[in-house]
Order: sequence, then structure tokens, then C-alpha cells
Amino acid sequence: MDGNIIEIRDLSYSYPDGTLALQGLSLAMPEGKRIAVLGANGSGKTTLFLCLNGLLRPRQGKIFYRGEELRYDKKSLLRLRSRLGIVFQDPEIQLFASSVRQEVAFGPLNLGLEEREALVRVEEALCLTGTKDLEQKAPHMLSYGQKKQVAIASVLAMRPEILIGDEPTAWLDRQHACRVMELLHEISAKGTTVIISTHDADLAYSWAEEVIVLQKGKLLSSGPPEHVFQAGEMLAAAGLGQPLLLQLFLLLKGKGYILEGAAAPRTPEALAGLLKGGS
Amino acid sequence: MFMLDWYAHNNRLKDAHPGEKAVFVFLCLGLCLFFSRETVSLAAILLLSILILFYVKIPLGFYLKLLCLPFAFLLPGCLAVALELPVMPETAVLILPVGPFTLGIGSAGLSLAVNLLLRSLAALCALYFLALTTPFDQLGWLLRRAKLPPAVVELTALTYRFIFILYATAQSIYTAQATRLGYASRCNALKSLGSLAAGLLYKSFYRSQMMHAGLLSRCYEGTFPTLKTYYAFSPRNWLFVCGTVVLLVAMAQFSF
Repeated sequence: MDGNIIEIRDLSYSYPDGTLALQGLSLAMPEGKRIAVLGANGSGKTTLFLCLNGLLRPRQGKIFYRGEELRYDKKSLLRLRSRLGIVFQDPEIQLFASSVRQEVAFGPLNLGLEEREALVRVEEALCLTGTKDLEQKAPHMLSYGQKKQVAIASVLAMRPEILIGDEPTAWLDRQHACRVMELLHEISAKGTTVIISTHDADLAYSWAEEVIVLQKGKLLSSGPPEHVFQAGEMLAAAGLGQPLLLQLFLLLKGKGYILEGAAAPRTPEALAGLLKGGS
Repeated sequence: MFMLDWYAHNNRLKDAHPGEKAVFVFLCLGLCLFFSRETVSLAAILLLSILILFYVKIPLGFYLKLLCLPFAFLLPGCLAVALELPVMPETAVLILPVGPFTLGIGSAGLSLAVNLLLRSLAALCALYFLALTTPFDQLGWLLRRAKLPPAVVELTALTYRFIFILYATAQSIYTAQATRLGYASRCNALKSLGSLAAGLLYKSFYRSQMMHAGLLSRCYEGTFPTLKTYYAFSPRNWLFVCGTVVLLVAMAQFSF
């Protein structure tokens, strides 16, 4: 265990119209892991992320970053945001510059980096996200999938310790969604803590190492996906379903087709390997 | 307008040094205005149009459409210059008796109007050349190099981006209304247009707030720093610029 990079204690947030988005939420996020925050629409995922980034100030409760309490003066916020990057759900609102290159350079230059270092980071982010050949284009000329990748590149170029993706696969076709999830996997492999929000149980099950389930702004469950997703009733209560793969595994296990003592599989291939009499 | 932007990003000169393009355009513009000779203006119009049509490869139809746009105020302007009241019968080209007055076009007025028209056209061609070959990012570079206040340059860049967002938003609201017969009758259309405007205001406000959050999350501190871009100089282009200057100055020695 590397320890927790983020800890939240008793966090509550209500919007000006009175909607209670977070209600006494306490949770911990382990460092270096791929974390999925799972919840139905309106369960408080986005509000949680905006609080983590210091964009919303909670009504009560505390956020600890590496054991240090988050404070809301300008200097502390800048320091936080240089280490914790957030990719918004709608890339349209994130892109403002007149070319992809300037967009991606915005973050690194804000960090006060020298021109040369900023350029290195821009190139790196463009190459990693596969957007190098788009760098001269204006944002309105990109497809939705490309905009998403540019939005990720623009945060990645700041080399954050934590990368948050709010519904990173929303409105993407299967191919682009897979590309984005692979990219987040690669980023995580380099040591960055990656946090995503989703309501797709299959996606969370196959990708995450740690799952946090929210319901109406409260913590419902958290832990490794194999454990969290076993509780079918809890998932149904949260407005989510059990991952298809796990459902199959449990059904086959109930009928006695699965090898004794086998742990829940994470991929279809792993499931096939657990079947009795399989070759 | 959006086609113009598309061509600016997709043409043969898009990667040329923006400084070269700007010097070329403003030299053409300056020489035409300075000499104020029909020959110079005509030469510039021909040269720029040939370049735009055959080198930059803008379709003739689109180019003509662009040129027609300013004619709406160019032609009445020139007409007003050409008309004389009362006109001298001995120098008149055209006489129109209106009641007790003799309205008409005199030869001096006519030549002044022609000169004005050609000069304006030349200036238009020059600016269209810049607009059709220079992506917005390079215009921003030019504005920064021209030492304009950063706030002005940033505002220009944001406005450019927001035009497209505003247009896309308006279009999506329009489509949403049109599919439910929002524009089926004049009465419906009037109502729909009103709520489109209101919706646009609300959405713009919401979006600007979200965008501000997006900027803050990337350590925005009130300024928009930009990466310096280095463009390659091309001796061939400079040679062409010099040739153009020689041509235009030479044309100033002739007159009709």
C-alpha cells in the first residue's frame, strides 16, 4: 500500500438552489491506482471532482492532499491545481485557444515554465494522445473525439500527479472510448493516479483497480472491483447494474461450471480459462 | 464567413511566414493608397486576384461572392461622388433633368469615382488575400508582434473562438425548435426566435462560467500566455514581394 493521496472527511456541499449534492462524504483514494467513481446521474460525482480541484468550496468537511489540509488561498489553490488536473466532461468548454498547440501550451506556461520546457511538455502530451498532426488546427475544426483527446493533452501537459476524468467516455463511439481508456491506462502506468467518473459498471470493472460507489452524495461502497461488484443489491440500489462478465461468472458458478475456488475474472478470456473441462 | 475561415486553414500559403504575408499585403495596400493611380490599382487588383485564384486556389465563385459583399456600400458611395448638382453641360457625361434641377455625372466626378472604386477594390483584394491565406493563430502572432496590448490580442482570440461556440449553440437550439415545428408559421417563428435568443443568453452565461472553471483548473491567473512560434523565412517570397513593389511603382509612371 502506497498510502492515500487524497482523503476526504465528512464533506458536504449544497448548490445555491438548495440541492444537496454531497452529504457527509468520507473516503480515501490510494496513490498510483486507477480509481473509478461510480454513480448514477446526480449522485455527486462531478461535484466531488470540482471540490477536489478547489473550484467549489464545501459547506463543511475537509479535504486532505497527501495528508495536508486543502486551503483556499490563491497560492494553495494554484499549488493544488498544478498537481491535480481535471478533464471536464464536455471538451467544448475546456478549449478556448485558436489552435490546438496554444491550447495545450496554456497549462504549462501558467506553471511559469520556461519556453523550452513548456515546448517539451506540449510535444510529449501531443504525441501521447495522438494529436500531434492536429496541432495547427483550430478547435472548431476537430471532431468530438479529437476535442476530447486535445482536452486530455491540455491537462496532461501540466504533468499532474493526479489526473481526473469526468465521464471520459461520454458521447464517444466505441473506438474512441477504447482509445481514451487505453490512454488513461498508459498514463496510470507511468505512475499518475488516475480517477474517472462513470455510470458504466462494465467499464469500471474492466479498467479500475479501486472503485468508489456514490449514491445521492453519500458513500455506498468502496474497495477493489471484485469485492464491490459482488453486491448486486447494493448496485441496484445505487441505480447501477452488475458488470455483465461478473453476472455470467456468478451464474456459471451457481450451476457448477466453474473450477473450485476461482476468483472473479476481469476479462472474458480469464472467464473462459475458469470453465471446467475447458481446453 | 465560415468558408473563409476554412480556406484560411486549408490553402497553399497557410504555412508561409505570417510576416511575409502581412508585409506583402500592406505594401500593396500602401502603394495603392499612396499613388492613387488607376494603373497601380488595376495592376494590384489583377496581381492579387491571379494569386488568390491560381496560386492559393480559391474557387472563382467564392472569390466573386466575397468581392460582391462590400459592393453594397461601395457602389452607392462611388455614385454619390460621381453625381454633380447642378452639372456643367460642357463637361457632362450624363445629364438627368429632375424638375427644375439638372442632375448629372461630370467627367471630373466620373474619373474621381472610378479612381475611388479601383482603389477600394485593390484594398479589398489585398485584405482578402491576407484573410484567405492566414489562419487565425498567425493573425494573433502578427498582432502580438505589432505590440498591441495583450488584453486586446487575447480578447480578439477569445472572440474568434466564441463566435464558433455561439454559432454552434444557436444552431443546436434552432434545430431543436425546427424539429418540433417551431418555424412552421410566421407566428411560431417569431415566438421561437425570441426563445432562441433567450436560450442563447442563458447558455452563453452557463458556458462562460464553466469555461472559467476550466481555465482556473489549469492555473489561470488572468492572462493567456502563448507559446512563441517560429516561422521560416522564404527568400523566394521576399523576391516576389520586391518584384511586386517594382511592378506597382513602375505602373505609377503610366496613366490613361
